[in-house]
Amino acid sequence: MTASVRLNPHPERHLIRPTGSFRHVDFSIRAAAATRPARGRPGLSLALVLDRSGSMHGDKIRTAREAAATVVQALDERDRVAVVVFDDRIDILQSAARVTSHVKASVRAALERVDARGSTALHQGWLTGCREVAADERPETALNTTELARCFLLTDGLANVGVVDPEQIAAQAADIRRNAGVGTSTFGIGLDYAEHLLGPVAVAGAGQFHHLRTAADMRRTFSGELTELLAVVASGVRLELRTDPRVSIEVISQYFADTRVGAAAIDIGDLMADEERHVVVRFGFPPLPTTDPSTMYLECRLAWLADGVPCTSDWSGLPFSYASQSACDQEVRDPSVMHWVGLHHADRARREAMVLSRAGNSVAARKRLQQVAGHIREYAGDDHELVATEQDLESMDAQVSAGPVAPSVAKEVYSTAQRRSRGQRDLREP
Amino acid sequence: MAEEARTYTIEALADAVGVPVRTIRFYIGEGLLPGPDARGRSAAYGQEHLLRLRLIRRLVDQHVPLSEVRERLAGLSLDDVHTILRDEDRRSERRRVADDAPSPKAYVAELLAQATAAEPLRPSLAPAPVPAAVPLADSALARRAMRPAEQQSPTSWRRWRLAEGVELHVRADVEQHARSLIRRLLDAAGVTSPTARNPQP
Repeated sequence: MTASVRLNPHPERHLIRPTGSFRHVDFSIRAAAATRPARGRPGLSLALVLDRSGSMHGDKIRTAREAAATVVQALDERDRVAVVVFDDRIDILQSAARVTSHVKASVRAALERVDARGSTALHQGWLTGCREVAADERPETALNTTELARCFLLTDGLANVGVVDPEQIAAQAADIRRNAGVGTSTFGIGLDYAEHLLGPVAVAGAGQFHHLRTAADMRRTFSGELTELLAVVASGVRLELRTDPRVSIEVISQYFADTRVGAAAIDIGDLMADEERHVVVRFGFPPLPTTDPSTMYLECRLAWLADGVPCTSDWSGLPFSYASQSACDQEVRDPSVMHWVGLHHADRARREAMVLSRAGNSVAARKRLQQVAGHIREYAGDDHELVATEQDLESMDAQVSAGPVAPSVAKEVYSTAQRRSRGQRDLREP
Repeated sequence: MAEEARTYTIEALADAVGVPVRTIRFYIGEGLLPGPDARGRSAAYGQEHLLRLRLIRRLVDQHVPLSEVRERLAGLSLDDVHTILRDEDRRSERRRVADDAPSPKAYVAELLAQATAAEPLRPSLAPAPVPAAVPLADSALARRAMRPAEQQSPTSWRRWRLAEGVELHVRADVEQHARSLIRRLLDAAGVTSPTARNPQP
């Protein structure tokens, strides 16, 4: 049975002011089928890329070795695994290979010899892992295209060898996912890694970003994400939008988007059965055109892979009509839509505020938090979660005003906000 | 003559974009392109015509229907067109690299070859097998990756151990400039031996 994925777009309002308006839409996406395809779960190609730079010395490298070995133990012959370690040198402990008992033993033995040393060639280490698990054949010629491919990148430090620019690495993560089918999840441990690198790389790689506070977090997130990957029923889910070229498109939720004039493709990632995501997008409608009809349409559809088969939903249209100022004043926002709008704006503000605060710009961080809290106050009504969110932004504002937030707080807030915005679970909790 | 001020005859415009003259006339007739600045033999086309025509061709090559091309171009300023074309060029180049690769593995291998060309790492002690399906050294992709003009600018760092758990990291391209500051920091940290003053690999 092929999994179906359903798309339900919900606009906050339908009317546009003659002077133009911003309108949010909550796109609800749910993988509906709970039945496994006849051939069972898809195979997984997994690259484990582990930082062994000097700062990983001690507990961190020991736990990384154990967590990696545990993950490999949980795979079977349907899967392929590669293990790469990096400092300022890259070693492939295990080239991509079917996970036989021999490979499991070989990986375990190789991991036991890994020690911490050197600096952090994160970019090339990660690329090496992606190369290992990328397919040898193009999808159109491959016999089996159902395998998922994912790279787990674990680090505790800053990339300081080779390419270090977060934007450049994140853009490449998106390219590798789209062109080579390899997604990336990132695992940051300790207080010295860059969340503004690992967060965007996971978003662009359509994976997850985990802030690991303890060694136990590492074990749980490695195993938890592996469990989720093995339960995926729809992979490479993409939300496609098209509208009038004069309408601006801004994705509020934390997803990677390729936005063009009048169109956007938003990468949702992989979905398990019954998993639901909410994607909030803000559309900017121009002033009432003098020559055109007074209605503008937004069209949307989904594309995904189920059991290796490309699927798309039909395009569905949402009309937005120009109306008088008084009619617009009377139109009520849909509270169920504003719930997600508020939460996702708040999560974006939290992430931005943490980055600004860590950069020493508390003025801009506070302004961002206050601005979003003010907006949420306007429409929160009796939505208890939104009211609590607004209060949380206010308390974060007070915290930021006292000076740059501590690294541990910044990392926790950033990763939690990203995870929530992407509808992902906290895999650190038992 | 500045590029912005340059004018073209319809034949020169057709040559510059690689379309027949009659296609340009068709686009003008369909309202996709503005008409020339003057009529008859002195009809002149400018930078705006050139850029809009390039964008139209790009969209048509992507199989966008003409009616949608017309919609997309309406209301775009020259700056908008310029920005879209630049973004499209970047996408095309990245797409071309992916399309040229014989397999996903070869595609990632090329990205890695580019990164390694820009910033060679210390050789691995362990055997690092390159899959037989990706003959990096021989591939056209790898050769192109090595062309200087297409190399990414290298960003390498040097590090000094100041104390247990404390290191100084300096980007290689500012090391010369920051020599005096580095010396002061090393002095302040009590790093005095000539060996220790050399950055660690």
